[in-house]
Amino acid sequence: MKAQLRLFIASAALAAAVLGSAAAGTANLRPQNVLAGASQAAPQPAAGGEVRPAPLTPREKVGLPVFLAGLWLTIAFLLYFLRLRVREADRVFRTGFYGKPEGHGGPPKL
Amino acid sequence: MNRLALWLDDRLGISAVLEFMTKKDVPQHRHTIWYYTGSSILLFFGIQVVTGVMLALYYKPTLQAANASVARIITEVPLGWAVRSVHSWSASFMIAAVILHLLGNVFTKAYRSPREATWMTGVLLLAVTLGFGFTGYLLPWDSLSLAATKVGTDLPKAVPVVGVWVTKLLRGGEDVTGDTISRFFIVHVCVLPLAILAVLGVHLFLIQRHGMSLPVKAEKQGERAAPLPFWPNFALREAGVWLVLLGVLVTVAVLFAPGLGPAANLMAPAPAGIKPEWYFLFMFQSLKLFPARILGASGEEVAVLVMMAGLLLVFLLPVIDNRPAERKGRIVSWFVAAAFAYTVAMTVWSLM
Amino acid sequence: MKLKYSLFTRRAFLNGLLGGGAAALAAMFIGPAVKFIFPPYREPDEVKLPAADAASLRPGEARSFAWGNKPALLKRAESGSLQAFVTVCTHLDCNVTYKPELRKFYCACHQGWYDENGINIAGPPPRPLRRLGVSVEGDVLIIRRQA
Repeated sequence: MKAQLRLFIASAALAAAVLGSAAAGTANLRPQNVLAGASQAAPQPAAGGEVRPAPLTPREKVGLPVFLAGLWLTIAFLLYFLRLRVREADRVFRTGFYGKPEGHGGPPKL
Repeated sequence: MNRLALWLDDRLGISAVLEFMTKKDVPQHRHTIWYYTGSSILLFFGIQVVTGVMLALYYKPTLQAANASVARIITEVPLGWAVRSVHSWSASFMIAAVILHLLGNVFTKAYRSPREATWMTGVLLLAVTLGFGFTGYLLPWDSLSLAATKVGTDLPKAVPVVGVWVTKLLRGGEDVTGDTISRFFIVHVCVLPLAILAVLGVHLFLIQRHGMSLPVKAEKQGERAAPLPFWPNFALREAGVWLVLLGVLVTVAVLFAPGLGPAANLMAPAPAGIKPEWYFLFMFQSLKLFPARILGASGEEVAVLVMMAGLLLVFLLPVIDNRPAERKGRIVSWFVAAAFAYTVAMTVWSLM
Repeated sequence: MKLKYSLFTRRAFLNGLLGGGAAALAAMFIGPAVKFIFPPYREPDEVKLPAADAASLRPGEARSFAWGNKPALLKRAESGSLQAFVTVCTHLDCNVTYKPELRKFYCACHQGWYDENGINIAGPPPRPLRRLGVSVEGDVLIIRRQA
């Protein structure tokens, strides 16, 4: 049990570290101007102008695809293991371990 | 960890719920894929709640500050543009999922006895979801929002006797003003969430009570494949679907973030080319088709009454289609298919 | 060194990977969410005021101005030099007032007192008022953050 916990933490740390680089790329996905105090340079919507989401800095321009790539890699990673679990669950179901597969007789009886 | 689980179970009785989940099963047939639509709606709704709360940390629902606060969110707050974009896109995704869910249930006739109440609560949920979309659309307070809200809150006037009062209730007076923003805001963040939780609770309870419905053909043929247990088999599959949907939503939101128009001017004329959100386009286009006057009543009044009658028919569909497996059922299916085709055609037409 | 028995089962290993992946996914969203919820706020590096503001001050007189989101005070000391304080009480953040007739700062919340140089002299305040640097450049008065 303890070993399992350690392994869990280790793999979470590893995954987080791998994605830390992605996070670093996205760390400044914020516009140049910082809140309040710095009153300068807040792009005020000029009367009649449309406000677009803040333009991305070069760092953000790199960070965005890194984030998306990291996101899809993580999803693919999770889907792979989820698939293993699903196949296992189906296999176990077919052995009848979950109880006899009932015909569709209506609501489950507790 | 196990001891904590036991402690909770002794006091809350969670194991009964888990046991139920293992016993619940999901039929397997050609149309099983539709079963994923319901939980997808739940996923998007959850995302809406989280992003909505985050946006509400900075949004100011007043006449002077509404538009400026949204502008601040998308330009100054770190990743505010992304949170707002996710909220906006997830709204559309949620409504799309609701439509798919409705279609799946209509064509597999999941509303037939004993699931009529499930269907009716579902139609209520559809109305609440559209209400979310409508009230949320006003909040950025740009000229598109103002125009859409003016038109939308004008429509109830067509209803005889009470219509004018409904409009006054929605607007907080005769006209759309700052009071309208306050109203729509509290409805959007408090009233509708409470409503959806209440109705959803009933909806989910009824689903668990009656079990998953089978399409008519599958019922006749008897089970080909044994039904899958909900836990863990179906739930794991749903988790996979959720992951993909989440990925698609975030990708689209991050790549296609919406902008914000200038603050609405209550006195200015409506901008050219205004359109409501895509899920209202078919109504928008249909309204254009109605002639100015019909039998003494104004075109809009007749159109609104027709729409309300349509909604009532949808609500009462299980009662109307009480013989779904026979010829009557097939006729109803054709009508529904025609209505859906009409909706799609109107939507496409309005975009041309 | 080959182990005789595995430290954990294959199942536990896979569970760990799955959990770790889920945690990583959560972290990818929680990080930005935290940044959103705790936006960075930087005080201004400097605030510029017209030099006329200071010219009209006689020894003992003061004029308030805004230091970002905080109230601040520009004061001419008895010696004739200019001082600037952030007039936020060091006890629990109440806004402090300057009483020119007493040449002291007073915080009404818990009756804290600071002398004319912002040193805490009575009541609960634990530290003196924060000082800001003042310099005159041409016809502009520049108030700066002090190291």
